[in-house]
Formats: sequence, C-alpha cells, structure tokens
Amino acid sequence: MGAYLSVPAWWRNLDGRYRLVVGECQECGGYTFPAEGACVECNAIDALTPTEPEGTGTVVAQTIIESGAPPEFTTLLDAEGAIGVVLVELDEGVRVPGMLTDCDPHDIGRGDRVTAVVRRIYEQEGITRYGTKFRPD
Amino acid sequence: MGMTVIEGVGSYLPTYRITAQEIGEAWDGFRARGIQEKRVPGADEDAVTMAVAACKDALADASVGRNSLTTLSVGTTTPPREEGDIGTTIAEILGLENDIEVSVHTQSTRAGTRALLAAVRADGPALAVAADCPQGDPDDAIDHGAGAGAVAVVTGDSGPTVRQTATYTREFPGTRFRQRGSESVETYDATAYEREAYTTTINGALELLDDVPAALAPTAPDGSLPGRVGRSADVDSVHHLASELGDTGAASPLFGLLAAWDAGEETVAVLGYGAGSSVDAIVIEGALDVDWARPATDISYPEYLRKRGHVLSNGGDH
Repeated sequence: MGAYLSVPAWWRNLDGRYRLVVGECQECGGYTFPAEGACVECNAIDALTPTEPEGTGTVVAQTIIESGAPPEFTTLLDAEGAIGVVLVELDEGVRVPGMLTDCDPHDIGRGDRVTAVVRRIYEQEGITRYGTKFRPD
Repeated sequence: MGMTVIEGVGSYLPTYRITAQEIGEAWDGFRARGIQEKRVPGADEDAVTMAVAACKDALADASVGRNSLTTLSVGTTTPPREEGDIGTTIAEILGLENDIEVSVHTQSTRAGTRALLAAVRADGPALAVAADCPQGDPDDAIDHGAGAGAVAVVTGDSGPTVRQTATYTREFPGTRFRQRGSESVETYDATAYEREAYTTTINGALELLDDVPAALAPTAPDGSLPGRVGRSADVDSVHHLASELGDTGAASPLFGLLAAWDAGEETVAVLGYGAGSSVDAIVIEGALDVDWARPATDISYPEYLRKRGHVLSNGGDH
C-alpha cells in the first residue's frame, strides 16, 4: 500500500515541491518548511513569508529502499536498483526530506553536499508528479 | 523583423553516459554512424526535467530576470504526454509569472528552432528551450544513436543578434516518424532518399538567405549526415555534437550553435531540420561564452536497458 496523496492536495504545495519555497519568519528570522502554519523556531503564527532557498545543503540523515517500495515507486526501483531517501539541511538552516538521484545511494552519507534538482517523483493515475530531488555535488 | 538579441544561453546533459563500444558489443556492431558516446536520461528524467535544468542554466547566464520574461517556448519531439500542456509545467517549476505566453512545439526535430523562432518573434524578453530524449527499437540505428540533452536561450538587450530567418518546406514522407502511441522513432530506411531529403531541404533554406554564413549548425541525427550539407552547400565549417552526445533531436542544432561558438565562429546559420521535411534557418551574428561539459557516470548496456524501460514489464515511466 502506498500513502495516497490526491492531486489537489499535491497541487496546493507546488511551490514547495518545485522550488523548495520555505517560510521565513518575520518574528525571529527562522525558516519553516513547508511554508505554512506556525514558525517551527518560535511558534509565531501568520509570520511566514515565502522565500526561495538556494537549493544547496548537507545530508543529515539517510536511508535506502532496495525492496518493498510503495507501488508508485516500483518502476523507479526496477530501473535504478535502489532509492536513496535523505533529510537535507539546506544552507538557510531548514531541514527538508527528499530522494537522491544521479548516484548510487550507497555512496552517499551524512555530511555530503547536495543540490536540489527537479525530477519525476512518480506517476499515478496517468499523472506525473514532478518535484525536488537531491543530487550529490 | 526587429533585431532580436540573444543574451544568455544554457544547457543540460544527463549524468549517465554509454559508449558506442558498449552498445556495439551487445549487438555485434554499433549501428549509428559517427557517434562515439552519448548521454542517457535517468529513469526520473524526461523532456520536462531536462528543459527545466537548461532554462535555469540560461537564466543564470542572462541579466534578464525570470519575472520580466514575456514568453516561454518549448521544443521537443518527446513530450511526456500526448495532450496536457508541458509548457505550463515547465513555467510553474521555474516560477515564471502567470501572464507569460507559453507555447510547445513538437512533432518534428525542427521543434527546437520553432521554439527559438517563437522567442525571436516575441515582443519582449523570451525564454526558448529545446529538450529531447528520442528512443528507437533496441536493435536499430536510431536507438543506438539516440541521446538526450537540452539547450535554452534567453533573449534580451545585449549579445549576439538574429540577423535573418527563413523556412523551407517540401514533403518527403517516411523519413523519420513516430506512430501515435508509440515510443519508438522509425524511418522508412532508404538511406539515399533520407540523405536527399536532408540536403535538399537544408539547401533550399540556405538559398533563401541573403548570404550563407561561413559556419553551419544543422540538426544532427548522427555524426555523418551533417557533413553532407557542408559538401553540398560548399561550406567547410559544419558544427554538431553528435559524436559526443548522440542524437539530441530537437536540441541538436542548438548544441551545434554552442559548438560553433566554442570554435570561435562569428556568424552561424542554425539549421533546424525536421523530417517530413522542413528546415528553419536562423542566422546569428556574434557569440557567447559557452560550456556544455557536465560530469558523467559510465553505465553498462544492461543498466541502459533498465533506465530506458526496454526491459521493464510496463515499458518504464516514460
């Protein structure tokens, strides 16, 4: 079973999916991703201004899916052999989750530098979901 | 026509690379001519993602900001959807303004120069991108040669100028086509006929120009065909990157422009040839600094088959 996400729900956060738009807190200067709700740093409400980060950052946590991927990812798993999933701390200080691309995920670990790129995340019901992945520098 | 200026240029190549030798060992011979190696899109890449990457590279090279763009034009023979505007997807990913005029040109490898012409004719700064990743059947010359890549151009205030444009059209059925619903490019496979279509239409377009420039950048389905244009048009300098990139389809004449600029050419005729057949000639005077080199990871032929979906039960995602 996959974690089904409807297209309207996906669409509501396209800026975050396509360009990692984060919320910059007007109270404390901290960043929140996605850019909605309260500031994760100071809990301020309605204080987030959408900002585009540079898209560069450092891997802080990583895992590898080699089998048993959700059904929407089985084609990618067949084609690429393994899927790297990472938590990246962007240079602006905010942490965002994502998949690795253009690499053998076994070669990537904590502390490695990565850059955001836009790729096909998966295809479901005939609709391609594009979004950000991370490529090692 | 006013003088359109090309202010910035950018490109993208997939990371994965395969050599002609690796493919040739699998098939007892490499069937595409004049290609040494080529790039292979990852399983999560398509014309949209490659176009986005090239556009970002071009915008970084230009002083025109994305918010002042009036037009986005996209050229590809491999749109990942048959209906459903991929231009809007590219515009949204890039974060362009909602009042931008978006067009997608397809159906022919001439799509790249169609996109460039749309930008040239736009009223205001424009972004044109050609992105392509053709495929054939695994045992034929088209698939052996099929590469991938994207080139994007930003028009603006200062830089090389578009001096003249012309288009020549004459039907040559069956020279290169893809049937509805199919992923595989086909040809009728009559070599002399295909060469005649290519040289006749390109020479037809060149004859429409006031002057034939000293350098040509024609569509390069392989590394051999472009040379025939040079001989028939009596031009020594014919530029393409098919030997290192393979057949980049609609993007190939723009990669040829980059190669011509890299070689120090001052005036170049970009010749977008589309089988069927039509040719756009775009004469560009002046040059920009270019660098299309990207890191590469060599892959085996079995890895290639998996990434392209040739051996996946559902044919892959694209």
